[in-house]
Amino acid sequence: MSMTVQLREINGVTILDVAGRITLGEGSVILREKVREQLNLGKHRIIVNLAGVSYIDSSGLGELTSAFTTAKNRGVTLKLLNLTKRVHDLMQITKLYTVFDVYDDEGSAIESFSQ
Amino acid sequence: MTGASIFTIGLLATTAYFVAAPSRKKELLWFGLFAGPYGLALIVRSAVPPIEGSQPDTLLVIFGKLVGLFAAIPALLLFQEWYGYGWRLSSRLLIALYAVAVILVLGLMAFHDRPRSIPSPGILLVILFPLVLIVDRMAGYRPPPAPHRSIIFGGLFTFFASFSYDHFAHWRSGNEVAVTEPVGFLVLTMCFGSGVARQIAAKEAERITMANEMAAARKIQFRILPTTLPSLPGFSIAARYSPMSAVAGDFYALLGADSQKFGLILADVMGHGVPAALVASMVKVSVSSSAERHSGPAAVLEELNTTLYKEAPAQYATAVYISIDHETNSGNYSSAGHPPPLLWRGDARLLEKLDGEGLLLGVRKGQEYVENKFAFHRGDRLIVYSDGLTEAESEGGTNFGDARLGALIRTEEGLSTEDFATMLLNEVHTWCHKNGDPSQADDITFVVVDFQS
Repeated sequence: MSMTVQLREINGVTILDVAGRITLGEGSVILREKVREQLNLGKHRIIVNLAGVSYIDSSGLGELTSAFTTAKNRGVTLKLLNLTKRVHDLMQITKLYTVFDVYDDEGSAIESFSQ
Repeated sequence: MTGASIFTIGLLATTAYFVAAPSRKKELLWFGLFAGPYGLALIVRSAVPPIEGSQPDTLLVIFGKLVGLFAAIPALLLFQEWYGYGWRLSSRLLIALYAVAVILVLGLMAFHDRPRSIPSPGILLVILFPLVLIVDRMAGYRPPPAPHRSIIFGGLFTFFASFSYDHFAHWRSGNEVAVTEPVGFLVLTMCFGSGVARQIAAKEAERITMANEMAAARKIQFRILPTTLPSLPGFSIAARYSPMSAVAGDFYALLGADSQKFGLILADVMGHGVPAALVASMVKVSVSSSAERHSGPAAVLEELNTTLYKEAPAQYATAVYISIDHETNSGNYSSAGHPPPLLWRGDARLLEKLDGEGLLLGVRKGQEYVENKFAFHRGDRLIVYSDGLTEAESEGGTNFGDARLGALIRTEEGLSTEDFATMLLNEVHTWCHKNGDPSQADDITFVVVDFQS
């Protein structure tokens, strides 16, 4: 299964619903493009919802990290929502959970921007 | 005969277009769609003697005429591929005008009692085509530069000249025998073929250069990896490295081996291929220089993190550095987002994980890394690996996994260091066979260290 990204906006927060496999090649490129697109549109509150991600490899994780740092360099906060077990495990091994802001429910993720 | 061979050429070109999926060129499709119907029209024309008034047009003749008329459209599209849209889209306009003329003529033919007296819409082309070129030129339009343009244009003009000659002849004599047109077409085919062949030759030369460069890159890559591992008293060491593509992002090295200490690093640059391999070379240089200064594991990783953060933005790597002291039978290690090395305790027959708490390299400026200690005894076995090993996927999509690796370490503990490494690589390669072929989604690297004293 390839990867898909759907866009939503709630209370000025852009939510990217990612589903499928984020792997080297197509998957990670789509993610990069979508995040860049939102940054170029001037969106400054972005949540990447990973609930539908069945698999992510290290390239995918690198892409996610790169999206985060690109956003940060532009003064934009990118937060993660609903890590599947696979993504969670990888975040544990790489200790990336110390870098990302991770949320388990959408409400608090959106709310966190207004604090 | 000519018709049949032209038809075959067209069929071949069209097939070639659809077979050469990723690198296909529109020219090939237009050429095929032009040559196929055009050849067919020639066959029909020569099969039915075209004498005005001798017999009513059979369905075959009408069919032949139809096909022949439409064949000119892909021919014009082919021309447009090289010529561009012209001044104010004039070449587009020409194609549209011709299409309208064909439909008009067909309509007239259906209702006319002497359809052969209706002039062919080809006449329109004979007149308008040179006109468009002249107007474009005067308006300052220049076709885009393309390789071998003069050859292709030469072919197109020869064909056009023969086409015009025949149309004038038909108009004057009233018959429809193709005289010079097939010859013109032959010239066009030869020019087109030569143009395409030259392009293919150029592409092939480019591909060979690329392949040579990749081979050179692979050589350099293998050179940064140790060819032989130093033999250190009290230790037996084996390493395996299985890149996914010609060059890889995995890297391992034994560093600063002296009488008392040696360092072991295994790093995995995220991504694969050339970009990852370039970063791996950077890792090698950084690690070697800090190891030469006898820095500890944390200091080596901190320096590496700084190098990656500064010199390779958006490139990340995981790494583990283990410094082993054989005077004190103890090790110091630091990990940066790397899968924890496994330590098999020979006497207790237990598998321990050397957990580290370090962040992935290249993410955060000035990141600090912690150092952990472990003691080793005779009979212990250390396995340091990249995630390509445990994440190797089977045909059914199951990972090789930590559990399977752990079980192998346990059941195969009796194997010598080299035999264990060979067995482990074989197991993983067999695991990721798909449809009977080896299919590796990531670079696989691991180092096995047996403590013998």
